[in-house]
Amino acid sequence: MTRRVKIALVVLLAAIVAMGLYAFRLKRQAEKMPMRAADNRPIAPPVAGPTEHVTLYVADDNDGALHKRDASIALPADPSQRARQILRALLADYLEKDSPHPLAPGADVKDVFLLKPNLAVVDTTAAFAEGHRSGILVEELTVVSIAQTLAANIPGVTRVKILVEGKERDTLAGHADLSDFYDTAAGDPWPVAQ
Amino acid sequence: MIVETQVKLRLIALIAFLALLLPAQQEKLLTVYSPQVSYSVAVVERDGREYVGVLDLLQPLGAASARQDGDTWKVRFNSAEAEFKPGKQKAKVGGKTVKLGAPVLQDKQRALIPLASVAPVLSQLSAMPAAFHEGARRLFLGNVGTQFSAELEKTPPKLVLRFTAPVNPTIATEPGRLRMIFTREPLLAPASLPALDDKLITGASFAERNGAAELTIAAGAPLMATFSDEGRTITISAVPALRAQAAPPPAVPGPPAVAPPAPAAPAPAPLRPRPVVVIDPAHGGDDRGAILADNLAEKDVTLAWARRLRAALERHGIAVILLRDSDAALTSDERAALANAAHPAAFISLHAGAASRAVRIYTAHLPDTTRKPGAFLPWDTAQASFLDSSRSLAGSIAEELSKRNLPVSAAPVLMRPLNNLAAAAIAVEVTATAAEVLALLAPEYQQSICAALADGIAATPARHAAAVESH
Repeated sequence: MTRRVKIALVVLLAAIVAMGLYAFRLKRQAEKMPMRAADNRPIAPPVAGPTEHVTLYVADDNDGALHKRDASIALPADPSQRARQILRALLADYLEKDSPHPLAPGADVKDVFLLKPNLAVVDTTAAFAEGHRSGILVEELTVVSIAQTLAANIPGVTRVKILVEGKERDTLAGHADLSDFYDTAAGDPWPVAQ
Repeated sequence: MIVETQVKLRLIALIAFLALLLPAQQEKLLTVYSPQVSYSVAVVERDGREYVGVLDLLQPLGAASARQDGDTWKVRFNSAEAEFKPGKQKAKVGGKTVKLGAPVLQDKQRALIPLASVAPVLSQLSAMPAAFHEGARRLFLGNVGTQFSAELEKTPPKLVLRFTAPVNPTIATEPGRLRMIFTREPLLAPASLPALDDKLITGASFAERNGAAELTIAAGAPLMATFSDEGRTITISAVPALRAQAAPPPAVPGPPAVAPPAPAAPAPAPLRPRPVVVIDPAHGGDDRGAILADNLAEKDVTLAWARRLRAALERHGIAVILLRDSDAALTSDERAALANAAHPAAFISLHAGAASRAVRIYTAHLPDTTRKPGAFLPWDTAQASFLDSSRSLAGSIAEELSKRNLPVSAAPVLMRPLNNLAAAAIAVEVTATAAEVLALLAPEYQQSICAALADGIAATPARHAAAVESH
């Protein structure tokens, strides 16, 4: 075998290895694509409106309590849109990497319907419920933090119903009852850390 | 004339007075034991004979309906049919002619059949053999039957009764004897009872009457019954404080002897069934609950905790019903229905989770309401009328956990079947951090928490009463 043939073989071998690595990389990228698609949260229209102070009731798994937190967010004039933006601000906290009450990627509020006299119906994404951790504490904290945040910021709201993709669901993840209305004025309140 | 009227009035007054002195007549009952269900039916007397309503008899057993076609009652039970004609002593049941022994009667809007005919009628309609203990009005369908044996142990003296299935009799204590009345259990007479020659336990007898079996233990001192082995064993022993004072057996009845006046014997204790606690090991079957770790599902952890809690409660003399003792699937409505049917003193729904290490006690998140007498309870908020009892139970358990330095917190929760319970009802969630979630399976940890739960449950009535008095 001549020197030229040997060089050609080495070059060919290197090209095969390089192409193999490139193909493997493309495959990995292709596998990640559906996951990214699932991660895509619905893009809300840009919010136009003045920045306002709101009160969020943020859940913390460590002490099993709600923590009252003030936030400033731009809010539109429409009451339903305002309610949705406030809840999205709350859920944004839960989607942070180090959240003390993490929700699954893709958890979002699709719509909030304010019905007279005191009822708010919150429509959530499938990922909100499907990816939710199971357990009385973690599920109830999610429901109560949504209900209390709405009650604190939307005058008159005392009852909250949570839907998933526009449909009723028995439980959030096996425990918290979603088939009924959560009444913020009923019974003992959930513990709130000051 | 006036004198005659006065005599009549006095006679009427005397009869009325005597009538008041007579004890109220006990309602006559027929009890039917089948492989699926045990139930009692009221027996009525007509023309000196005992009768039962056809539908009353059939409905607890399956789909039963009746309609009147002319003067004939056409009855349908599951896929079988029967025809009863008032005044006739024969009926067509499941295609066969059955002799009833007395004529069928029409009573308002129902058909009555003679008590003596219930065995052939039910046997024909249900396609199961029927054994009728007519004197005691106890009917055994299929091969149901709970047998028992009795064994006397000498040191310390106690009578151990072993049953082939769990039992939960009503227990009545009276001077010199302890009576156990088995209404729902198809208890059969034993082949023989052992000779009891003990100073404390002097005799035992079995009897059947009015749709129930009765086991009476005679003794020379007050007795108590302790349940174990999931209700399959009852141990009769002396009440601890009096064990050392066991008196000789009562004298054989004879002519009255002259004796110094004795203090009046205490009145017989009222029939008081043991308190029942229903434990609901949450999830089961396909519903695995929270996935706590690889191959560790909440449903398995709750079952392990439930079994341990049952043993702890039984040591307190509390009867326990587990809603599932296997990997069975039950809906929330089924759990609530089963629990409500047991008329429990308390309902405990057991859960496990991965968060911080703690025991969390939940009561239902419902508005407090006061039930009006006679009002129906709305299913979705049945628990609302029992929130005070539930909070009392939760408080008592939290106190016991705190005594043992176990971290505990309480909160309201909107969760089924808690909302549907007509009794003191709480959910208990035992949680650990994700890193130490296997601690949930550690026997010592389970034992410590279950002992606190059992102590808290057992102490609830006393604490609740004290709280009420202090208000």
